[in-house]
Amino acid sequence: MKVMQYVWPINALWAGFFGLSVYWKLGRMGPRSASTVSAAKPPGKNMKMMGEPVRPLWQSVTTGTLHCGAGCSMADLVGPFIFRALPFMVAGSMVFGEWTLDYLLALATGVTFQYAALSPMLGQTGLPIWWRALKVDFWSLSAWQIGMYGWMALVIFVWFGPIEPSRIEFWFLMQVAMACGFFTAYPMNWLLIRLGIKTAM
Amino acid sequence: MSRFNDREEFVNEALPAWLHLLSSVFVPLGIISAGFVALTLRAAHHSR
Repeated sequence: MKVMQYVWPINALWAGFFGLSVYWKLGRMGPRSASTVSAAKPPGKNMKMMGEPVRPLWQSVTTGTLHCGAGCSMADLVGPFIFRALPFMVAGSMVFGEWTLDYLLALATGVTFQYAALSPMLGQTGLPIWWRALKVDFWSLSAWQIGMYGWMALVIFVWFGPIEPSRIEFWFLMQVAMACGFFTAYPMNWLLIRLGIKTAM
Repeated sequence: MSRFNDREEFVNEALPAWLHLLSSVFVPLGIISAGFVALTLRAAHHSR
C-alpha cells in the first residue's frame, strides 16, 4: 500500500526506536497471502480466506492505529507554525484555539490518508470512499486526540505552562503526547475493525 | 529528590534540566529513526 511509505517514517518521528521496530516487524513484510498462512495452520478468527490480506488482529490494529497517527502527526507538525502565523481564540483561550486548528488539520490529513488506503484496497474512487474514510477516521482520530490533548493539558495547565515550538522540549512533549494518542486510539481501532467499520490492513 | 531543599527547587531546576536532557535524546532519535525508515523504504522501492 503506497500510503504506508509515508506512514512509517512519520510515525518513527515520534516513536523513535519503537516506531523503527514496529516498521521492521510489520512494515517490511506486507500482508501475508492466505495460501502461505493456510499451509502453516488452519484459519482462525483473525484470518481471512481467498487471497485477502491475512494478519493477526493485533498487527492489523497496530498498523491501522499508526496509519491514523500519521495524519495526526502531520497536523501537529505544521499546526503550531500555522497557528502562530494566524492565531485565534476559542472559548477565550489561545490553547483551545490551537487545539481546534490541530484537530481540523488532523481530520483533513487523516481522512486523506484514509482515502489513500481505502481506495486501492476496495478498488474504488470518488465521494462514497471519501465519506467512508471520514466515518472511519473521525472515531479513530478523535480517540487519538483525546489521549494527546489529555497529556498536553497536564503539560500546559499543571506542569510547565505553554511551551513555544522553537524549543526542543516542545517536540519531546509532543512525542509523548503522540504515544498517549496511540494508546487511546488502539482500543478504538480494535473496535472499528472488529465491527467491520474499518478495513483491516 | 532528597538532595533538593524543597519541591520548588525540584520543579524550577531539576525538572527543566531533566526535560531538556530527555528532549535532547529523544527528538534527534525520532528524526534519525524516521530518516532510516524512509531510506529503507526508498531502497526497497528502487530494488523492485
